[in-house]
Formats: sequence, C-alpha cells, structure tokens
Amino acid sequence: MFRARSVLKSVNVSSKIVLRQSRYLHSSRSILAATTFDMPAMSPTMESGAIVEWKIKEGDRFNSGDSLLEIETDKSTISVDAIDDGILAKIILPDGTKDIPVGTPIAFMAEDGDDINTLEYPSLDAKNATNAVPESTPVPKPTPTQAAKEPVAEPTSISENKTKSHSEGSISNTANPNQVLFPSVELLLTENKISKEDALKNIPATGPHGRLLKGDVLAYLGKIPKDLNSSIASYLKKTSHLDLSNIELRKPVESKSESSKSSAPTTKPKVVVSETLPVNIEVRYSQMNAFKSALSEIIEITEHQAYAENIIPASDLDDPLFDEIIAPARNADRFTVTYKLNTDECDVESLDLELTLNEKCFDAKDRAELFVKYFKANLAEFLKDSDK
Amino acid sequence: MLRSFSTTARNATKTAKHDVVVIGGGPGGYVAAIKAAQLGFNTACIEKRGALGGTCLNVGCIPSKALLNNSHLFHQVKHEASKRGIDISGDVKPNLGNLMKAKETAVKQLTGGIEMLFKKNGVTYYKGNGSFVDEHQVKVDPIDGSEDSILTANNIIIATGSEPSPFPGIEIDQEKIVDSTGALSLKEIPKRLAIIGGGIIGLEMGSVWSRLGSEVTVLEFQKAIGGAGMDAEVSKATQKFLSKQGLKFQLGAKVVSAVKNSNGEVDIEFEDTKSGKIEKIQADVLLVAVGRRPYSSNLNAEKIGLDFDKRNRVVIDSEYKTKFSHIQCIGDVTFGPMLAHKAEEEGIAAVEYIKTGHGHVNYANIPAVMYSHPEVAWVGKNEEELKEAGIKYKTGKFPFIANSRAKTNMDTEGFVKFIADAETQRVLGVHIIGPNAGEMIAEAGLAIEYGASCEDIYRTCHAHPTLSEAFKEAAMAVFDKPVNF
Repeated sequence: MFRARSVLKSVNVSSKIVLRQSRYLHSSRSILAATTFDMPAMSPTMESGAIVEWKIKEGDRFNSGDSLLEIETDKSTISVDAIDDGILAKIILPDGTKDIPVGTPIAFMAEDGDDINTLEYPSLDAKNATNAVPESTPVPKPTPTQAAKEPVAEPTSISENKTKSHSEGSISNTANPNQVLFPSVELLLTENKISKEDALKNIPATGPHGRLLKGDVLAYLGKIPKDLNSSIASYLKKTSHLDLSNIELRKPVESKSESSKSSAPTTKPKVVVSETLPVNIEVRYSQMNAFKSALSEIIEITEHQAYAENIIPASDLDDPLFDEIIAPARNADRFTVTYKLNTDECDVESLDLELTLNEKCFDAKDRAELFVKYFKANLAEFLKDSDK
Repeated sequence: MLRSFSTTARNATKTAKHDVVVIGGGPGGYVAAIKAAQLGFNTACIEKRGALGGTCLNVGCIPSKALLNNSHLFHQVKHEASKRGIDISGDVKPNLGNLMKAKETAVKQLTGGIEMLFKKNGVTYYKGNGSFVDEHQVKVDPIDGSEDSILTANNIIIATGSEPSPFPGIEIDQEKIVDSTGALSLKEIPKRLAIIGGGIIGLEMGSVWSRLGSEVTVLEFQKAIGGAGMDAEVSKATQKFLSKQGLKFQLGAKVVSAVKNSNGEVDIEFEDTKSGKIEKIQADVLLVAVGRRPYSSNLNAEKIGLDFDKRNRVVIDSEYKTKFSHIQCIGDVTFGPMLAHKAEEEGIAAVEYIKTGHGHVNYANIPAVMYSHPEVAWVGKNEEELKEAGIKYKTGKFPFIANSRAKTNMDTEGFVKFIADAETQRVLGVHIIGPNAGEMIAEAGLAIEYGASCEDIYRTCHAHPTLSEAFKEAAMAVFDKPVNF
C-alpha cells in the first residue's frame, strides 16, 4: 500500500530533479568507506557537463533536499539535490570544471555521522570493479552499476527529465560540439567564411541531438526567418511521440475511493461546499493510482482534523444524554468528499473539491469549511514535498 | 476451498519466478524477451501459437512475401521472358502446391530460428496461453495439455498483437470467404477473387492471386486505395499500375452483404456510394481485408482491471506502462500503427525503460512498405499532413524511367518523391513507388532521423548504376534541377 509519503517520490515532479547518490551501495561495503558521487546524467542525451558551483563545502553535512551543486549541461543549468542525508567528504572536481563525462566521479560522500578524517577513500580505478559485483543479482531495477553511472536513481525522474528538457530543450540549442557537419552546412559555412568552431559555438542548432542543420545556418545568415527552424523542429518533435491524448476508455473505471464516497447519501437536494484548488503537477498514467490513493489518504487525514477541532465552546448546558437522543451521532458524517482532477495529458492542473453536506448536522457547514481550509494546507504540503 | 484443493491435487501446478515475463511471442514480444535476457534479466516468453514470430512470421509479412516474390517471378517468366531474351519451350504454369511448400519452408526456418535465439540468450519459452492471475502472477495453460504453470514476475510485458477485423454480417469459413490468414493458403487458384478492402493487405494478396491467374476485384469504401498514410499522388499511381496488371477497382463501394450460394460461389452486394445504386458481383473466393484489431482474448486482463480504450487497445503511457507501472504493453494490442517493426522498436524500448528508465522510439520516422510490384514505401509526412499542419513545403520528384538501372532492368514504373521544408529543404517525408522501394526507404529514414536537408542527400555519393540514384536526383529536384531528367 502506498503511504502518502512514499508516493511523493514516485509521483513525477516538475522542475527539480531528484538525485540519489550511489551511496546506498553501502550496505554491501565496509561501513567507514566513502562512496564516490558521479557526474549525473541530467537527461538521456547528456554525455558530459560542467560543474558551475558546489553549493556546500568539503566536510559539510547536508540533508535530503539540500542543493549539492549546480551542473551546466548543453541545455541548461540544473541544481542537483540530495535525496538522503550525508556529508560531502571530499570534492574531486572543483567549481568550473568543464566537459566532465557522465559517470565520472566528482566527489566522495560519507554517511551521516562518519568521521571524514578516518574515512577510507576508494581508489577511483577500482570503483567500477567494486560496483560491478552487485550486478550479478538481476533485479529489474537500475542496478547499482547503472545507478553509479547515472545516479538518477528513479527511472521516473529520468523520464520526466526526458519529456521536459529533451522535448523542449532540443528544439533550440547550442550545437553538439562533437559532430561531423552535414555537407550542406560545411559548404554554407565556407561560402560565408565562418569557421566550424564559431559555427558550433554561435549558431543555435535545431537538429536532433544538437545537430546543426542547413536551415540553422540559413537562419543565422538572415536568409530565412529566425523562428522557422524551431517551429519545424517542434512540429516534428510533437509527432515523434505516440498520440496518447483523448483516450476514450471502454468502461470508465473510477477509483475506489471516489466511487465509494460519492455513492453515499444522495436523496435530498444537496448542499455543497466546493472549491477549485490549483495542483500543477505531472503525474504519469502509471502513477495515477498511486497519486489518487495518496489523495484519498490526505482526505482521510484532513477529515480527522476537521472533525477533531472543537468548534463549540464547552458549556454547562451540555447534556450528553439529551444530545444522544435528539442530535445526530457524534461520529455522523458531516459531509462527503468528492473530487475531480482537471488534467491536461500528464499534467494535473487543478482539483475540484466538492463536499456534500449532511444537513442533519448543524455543524456540517462549519466542519466542511474547516476541511477545505486544512485540505488546502495539506495538499500544498504534499505538493511541496513531491516537488523535491 | 475444497474445490480448489481437489484441482490442485489432480493437476499439480508448477511455479516459476522470472524478472520479466513477456506474453506473446510475435515480433514485439520475442524481441523484447531476447533484449531483456541480454540485459541480464531472468526472462520468460509465453506463446500459444505453437510457433514463435506471431502473425508476422506465421500468417502475415513473411508467408505473404514468399508468395509475392515467387508469383512475381512466375509472372515475369511468363510474360517477359521472350522480351528479355529467354525462350522457354513448353508451358510455364504455377504449381500451387510447391508455391505453398516454399512459403512453409521459409516460415519454418524463421520461426525455428527464433527458438534457437531464445536458447542462445537464455529465454525460457512457455508454449501455452498466458493469463493474469493477479498483478504479479501469470498462469500458463500449455497447449500440449500438460500441467499449468504459475509464473511470478517483477515485470510483465503484454505483446498479444492483433487479429483480422471481421466484417459485420460476413462469416469467415477460410475456404470460400477468407481473411488474410486464409488467403495465404487457398487450396486452388480462384477464377474470380473479390477483396473487401483496398489497403496494403488486400492489395498484396490481390497481386499474388492476380499474377497466378485470378480475376481480382477490389472493393474499397474510401475514395483512394492504399489506406491511411499513403500519399494521395502515390495512391493514384499505384492504382494505375495495378489496374494495368489486371486488378479491377471499385472505389466508394460500401459492401452490404456477402453470402455463399448453392453453386459454391459468393454473392456480393455493394452500394456504389457515388450513385447510390446497389450492385452485385460474384466471386469464387472473397477475401475480407478490412483491417486488424487488437487481440487480448484469454488474457484475463479484466481481472486485474487493466484499462482498454473504445477500440480495445490497452491504455498505456509514453513509457508503455499500463496503470500498473510494472506491467507494460507494446505492439498491435496498444496504440500506434500495427506494424511489426514498430512493435520491435517498442519491445526494445520497453525493456530499456525497465533497465535504465529511458528508451527511444521515434514515431515520426516509422516506414511503411507495400510489397506489390512496383513496391510502394514511405516514411515521414505526406502532403496532406503538412497542409493540415500549415507547413510550407516543396516536393521534388524523379521518375524511374530516367534511371539507368531501372531502364536496363526493364522495370521503370514509378518515381521517388521528396517532401521538404520550402525554405530549409529539411526532409520531411519521402514517398517511393517503384522497384526496390522498400529497401530504398531506409535511406530516407536515416535522413529524417538526422534532420538532413535534401542537399545533404544529393551531396552524398550514390553508386552508379543503381536505383538509388533516382533517390539522389529526387532530392536534388527539390531545390535544383535534376541532372538526368
């Protein structure tokens, strides 16, 4: 079963990239050895990157979620965040190092509480050999070797990364410096006395994987409209994916939490408290169940909060026996909660919350409003957590 | 309780654990299984046909190509031999039995080849029907009637493929009224063959039997043959060439009924949608080739609550994951064009998603080929799509009649047509009708994958004398004058 917290990791989150270092290898190693932290792949196409700046110093402790360093790829500058607590034992490659191939060790990490002075540093050459050992147990998860090479430990974050930065990022880009030029490009450059180096540095490349196209040079020379290349590239990009929009299901299947609650008492004209809350989070289809069960969990927690709050001051006139006879039961449902997710493909944009009030309870409306208040806060916290 | 106990007692169930279980051994499934094994997963593949390779190898691409190639040879020998300087004494006639034998040999060798590949790569092969017990367990009912197996899997890939779509009201008996499977193994050459559906399958099978001597009539509901994706100009040219070979076409024909009569013929009624008149034709064999539909029978997918769309395709996300992230689905049974090579790509990508979290299929660059003569092949966009997207394009064409190799081969029908961005000449689509189009289209795929402009193709040296020079000159025709035309 999914707990709300564990969902936070698997739900796809925009903007930031969650990174796990290769340190979970520890279980199979001597405890007082440092682990290497390798150059992460921030996108499937990334081959190398530069360290802009280490955000923490050698010997500093960091907590999960702290920004460790900033990495510059051919597409953008991305902050690499820790997913676990630990200590930055030693920086191997300092600020400003460029063209670091993905998988190159860039730092040593230690466990929280390790004494970094007595730490054993693995030799960098031996690293691959040590890491290769656990691979013999084939588990359909990224094996440690891979995790070390591409420490984006959760496949979801890689793919999220791909759909975001790859699809948009590859449209107008700096050129891949290691390419053999197309004959058309080479000819145009020679004709216009532009060196290959200058061209790759200055001309935005709209071809696949940073390839410089004839059109890019033509646009650079002002012979064709500037945005033409990127509009073609984005059109082609759009059609390069399976069209999974507007799927009409054979039998619409409602999530259990929704249907069980919405099919509760409905005879009377309903009094409803409703509110639309912004969500703005990317949830893949395969994670929708997990996301929904996390939401139902939040609803449950919020219900407890809304019911628990004392909204009527204690009074001498309270008579439990009297209440029991004529008032609805203390634990009677004050409202039933339903919600609807407004989605645009993978993005859940907002959530329509609807509370149907039980009019037999005089405090139904107050509690429903309390619920909305708490739910807003809980949802915001959940989304913030997911964002990490 | 008691009952389940007694079944167990009678029929002890084997169990096994695998990292990856692939349901379906077609082009998508077997490729996924081998790739998974190569990546170090303990992999199993379940197939109930009794032979691997799926529709493609057993009753699709491969057997049809055997018949197409050999019937083409027969046709050439019969009609072109003397013109080419070969005198044949005696009759040239088809031997249907041996044609079928040649077809079966090819199929057997290839399906057997996959079994070898499974052994070589350590894929466990279960011959039987796979069905879900729960989200992590798949039951195999072996086709030989031996005891069931329950496979527990961390990852499951559904690759159950597709089957021919039936035509409402027409009953397939695989003798007189056949689908694509039956059309591959007719007992005798029909005098008159009627085909409902002028798509790739209908036209390929129509070509086979027409070459062997059948009078072929194609009834197509749309206004053009070739099906979706075929460029309109190419479709028209194809119809012209096939008509010349003797195939008859009824476009805009809405079939009303088809029944076997007492003389062993099939009476077909269709409405000419242009005139609104009902017309009747008779045929000795009717082929129903109106497309294919996803196949997921006996998979018990409802048990675990997998989502299907209205056309019975398994709903997936862009990583081929169903609503359960450890159950993926690829190929014909889910979205996208129903093509073997598309399924293969997806099989690899799905396994790579399991292993590394990313995979790659470029759906804008999936070639389609029709193995008629001349062949038809295309990749990328057609003119209609670009018009709709509002993209300004230019076309460049080069006819095979101006190509030296085609001329010497006396095989000059068709042309190569490039569609490129009007300003940058970036290749957006290539459509070929002509000899060897299916092989030549690979070069177009490469150009599109790399974002090449037409100039890049034309500045690449192509051997002389080859058909591929027509490809080069067509690229040149987009922005310059071709040299040889």
